[in-house]
Amino acid sequence: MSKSSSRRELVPGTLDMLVLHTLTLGALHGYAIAQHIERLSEEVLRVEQGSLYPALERLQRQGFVTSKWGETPTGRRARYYTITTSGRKQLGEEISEFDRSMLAINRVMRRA
Amino acid sequence: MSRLDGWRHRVRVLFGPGRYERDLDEEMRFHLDLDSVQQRGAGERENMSSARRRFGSVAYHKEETRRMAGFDLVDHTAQDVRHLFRGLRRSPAFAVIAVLTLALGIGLTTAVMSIVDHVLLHSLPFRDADRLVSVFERQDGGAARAPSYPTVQDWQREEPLRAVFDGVTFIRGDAVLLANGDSREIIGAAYVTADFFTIVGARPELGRFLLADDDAPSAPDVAVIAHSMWIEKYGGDPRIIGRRISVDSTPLTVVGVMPAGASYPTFATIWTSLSHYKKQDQVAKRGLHADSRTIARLRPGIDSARAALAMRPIESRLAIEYPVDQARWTGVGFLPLRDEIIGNIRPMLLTLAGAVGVVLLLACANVGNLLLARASARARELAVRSALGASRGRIVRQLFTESLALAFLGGALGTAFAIFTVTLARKLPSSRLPRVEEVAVDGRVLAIAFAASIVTALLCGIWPALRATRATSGASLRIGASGSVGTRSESKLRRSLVAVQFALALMLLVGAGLLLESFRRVAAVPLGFDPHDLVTVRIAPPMSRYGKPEQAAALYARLMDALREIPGVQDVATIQHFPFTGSGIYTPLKIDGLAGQDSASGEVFYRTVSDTYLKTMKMSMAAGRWFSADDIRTPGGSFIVNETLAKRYWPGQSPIGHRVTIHRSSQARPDFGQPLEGTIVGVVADVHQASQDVAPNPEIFVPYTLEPWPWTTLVVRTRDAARAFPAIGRAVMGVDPSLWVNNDPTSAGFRVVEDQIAQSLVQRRFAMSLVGGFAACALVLSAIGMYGVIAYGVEQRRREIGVRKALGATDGNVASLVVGESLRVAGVGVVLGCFGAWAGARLIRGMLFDTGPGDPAPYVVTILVLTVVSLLASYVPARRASRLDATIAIRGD
Repeated sequence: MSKSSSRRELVPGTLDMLVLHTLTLGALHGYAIAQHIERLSEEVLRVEQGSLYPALERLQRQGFVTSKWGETPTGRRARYYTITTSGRKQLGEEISEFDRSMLAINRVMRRA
Repeated sequence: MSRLDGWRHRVRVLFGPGRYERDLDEEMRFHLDLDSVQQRGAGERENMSSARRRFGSVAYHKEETRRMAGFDLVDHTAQDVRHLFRGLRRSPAFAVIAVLTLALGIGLTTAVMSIVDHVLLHSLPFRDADRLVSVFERQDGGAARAPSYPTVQDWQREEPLRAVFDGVTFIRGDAVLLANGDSREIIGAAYVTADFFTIVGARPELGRFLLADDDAPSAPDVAVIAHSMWIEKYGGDPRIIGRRISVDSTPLTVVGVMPAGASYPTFATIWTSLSHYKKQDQVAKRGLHADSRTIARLRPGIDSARAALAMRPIESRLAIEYPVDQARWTGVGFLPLRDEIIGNIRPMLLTLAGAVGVVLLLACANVGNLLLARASARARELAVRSALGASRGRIVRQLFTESLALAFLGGALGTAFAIFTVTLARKLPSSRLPRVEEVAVDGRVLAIAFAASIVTALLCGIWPALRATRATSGASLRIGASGSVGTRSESKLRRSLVAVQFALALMLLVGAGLLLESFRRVAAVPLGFDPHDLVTVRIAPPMSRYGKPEQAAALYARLMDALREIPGVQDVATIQHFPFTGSGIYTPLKIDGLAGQDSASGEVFYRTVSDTYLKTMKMSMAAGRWFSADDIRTPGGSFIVNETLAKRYWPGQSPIGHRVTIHRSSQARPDFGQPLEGTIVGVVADVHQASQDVAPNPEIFVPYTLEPWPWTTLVVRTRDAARAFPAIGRAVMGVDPSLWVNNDPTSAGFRVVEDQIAQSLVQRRFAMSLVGGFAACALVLSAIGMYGVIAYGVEQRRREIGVRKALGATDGNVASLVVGESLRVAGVGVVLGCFGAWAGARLIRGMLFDTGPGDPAPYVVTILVLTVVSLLASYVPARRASRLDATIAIRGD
């Protein structure tokens, strides 16, 4: 469970936000979500892909995400996740919260 | 909407746990497959392992996801319960034994403690029952007697007594003939005044109690009946109110029903007005001190010592006013009503409560042991789960659920068992356990027993879980591989638990042994007569036709002649108070020429007998002669005493030829108290009068014709006692149909003497068999405990045993190693138990007869039994150990 030093760990609590943001693109299965997050962050933000699943479970329980089994273009069975209305609302809140924190951090860093 | 989506998801997880798991597996497999396809590595295997690296531990993430899914308590519990049933299915013997042990512990404790609590500690159905006392007059010598009605009326008039009593009331008891349709039956009646009901403070079950108006001589005759009579004879029909019943040929109207359990005096099944009592002249006598009770209600805050103090000046004044009756009777004694109703059953109930408490402790120890053993066996499983990422809390919670479920299953079964036992106990005759018919399972007791078993289950279930998960996972896995985690201290704990079990079992066995020995010795005490083939019939002739002494005497002679005619009857005799019926009457005894040697009152039994009594009873003479037919025909001048009387008043000498003076003792006759002078002509061997564990009282016998008693007991020696009743009944009614005798051998008039003697031992037998049963349970539980620990020890020491064998230990060496271990554990328990048993036996000394806590016999037998049990319990493990193959054992698994 140790992570190599070349990888950056996620800021705690941001995985949910990234997942929700990714899902605004449309219904995706777990692997696609993981790939999307890695690709967009240019592989800087790398998480153990498995930790995506507890996060998805958590989001479903909170009602921000729902899931449904479907078929991939290659005909395999896969679970597709969709963001709900309240998930979008939550995403908005999380982004503004995140922006506020980043702003604060930047201010602190510049002053130092 | 969102909340709904979330809940919908939770419900899906909860109700489709299997599908949820499968889905999760599939989803993760899909992820890995896809990722490995995307890798552009050398080969399929490398691609897959690279995908797995990127994914992280599948098991860990799965467990994490599950943890997320089971965020709700409900989900977790459902999961735990599933684990539980899976686990219990895997080891059903463990589950069954644990649940049964708990059920036994909880059930027995609850049942016995409910009975004890009810009979002993619960208040009677009277308001503030603690303040109700029964009142006696006391002599300086310590003798006690019931106060007469005129005395009680004097008390009622005394102003100073109102400061200590809320009321004093007099109750006259009598046996009356109740005619109900065709059936006639002798029942106990209490003649009371209206204030009786306000003093006891009960509420009528139905209708009303007697009121002051009912005490007026001109008022119609009314009665209150007992709850038991209402149920048994009238089927609990509410229309009983207003119904007319016939008591001693007088019609009475039923106006109320007493509540259940409120029967006081305990013999009473009907309460009616004292002012309408036919034998008014008797009640009005200052000399009458029998067949009555006087009860009082103490004012709040007044104890019996204060009340006795307040009564002293009044009693002193009465002693001066009525010297004949009251001189020397200047003290007053109080007995709490509860003690009078419950009697001497207290030591027995406390013994049972103690014994059952020991059984509960033992059951808890046994379940603790089982849970510890199971936890050890599962240490590896727990270590693996812990290593795979199950949190410590999660594992502990699972074991918690498991222990709790066992405790609840055991508790539920135990409750059912307790209800069953109490229902059985309620059917016991109340002569064995007073007021037992109202016993119900006590909720508080049940809760305590339940709590005890839950605490045990939790302590013994969770402690090993905490231990197992505390160790770093790698280490526990390795140790787990040899099947033992935390072995040292745990097996030590388990051995101590078994030692404690043995100690507890020893206490119970020794206690049971002492009770058995006491029973044996009591039953072996010679009665002084031969009860075999002996029956008795009580005859209470109507006063109208047999009221005069000579009429009664003539009737008894005719009855004896009639019974002698019955085929199979060998001998017939008469006596007024037969032994083992709990009845008797005392006479003062004055010995001529021995001033100051008079008997204390309440010491010498007065018996009126026929000349045939000695032969019928098969008693024997110690000296002198028995009554002849002449003594009966022309009575007077000749008395016979028993050995106890002879030894007490003529120690080392013969009483024969000495002259004594006694009193006429039938209070129903006008000549009551008249002196009777005579010479002692014989000494008869002692007969036990109350029971075999009570020494005989002094007795003096006179011819029945000297003072023909108003009623009598016919004693018949016949073949096949139980079948003789119909013929006896017919013969009695042949003499006079108004002497009506019920043919039912269970009716009050008939007694098989052997049954009556067995009845006197019934409480002793009851306590002995219950404690014996508890001891047997204890023995089985300890044997299970011992087997478990020894078998587990062998499993744990496989490698050591293998090494020993490889180094040349014989099968015998190995077996004795195992057996030695078991004997060591048993030895510790035995030493502990001996102290416990000695202390326990001191507590039950009141129950013991002719034996004591220091009697070595039960200890020796018990220690032998426990040794055999521990040998048996270690036999199988020892055999298994000695057959171990050294090489396999050393290699491990």
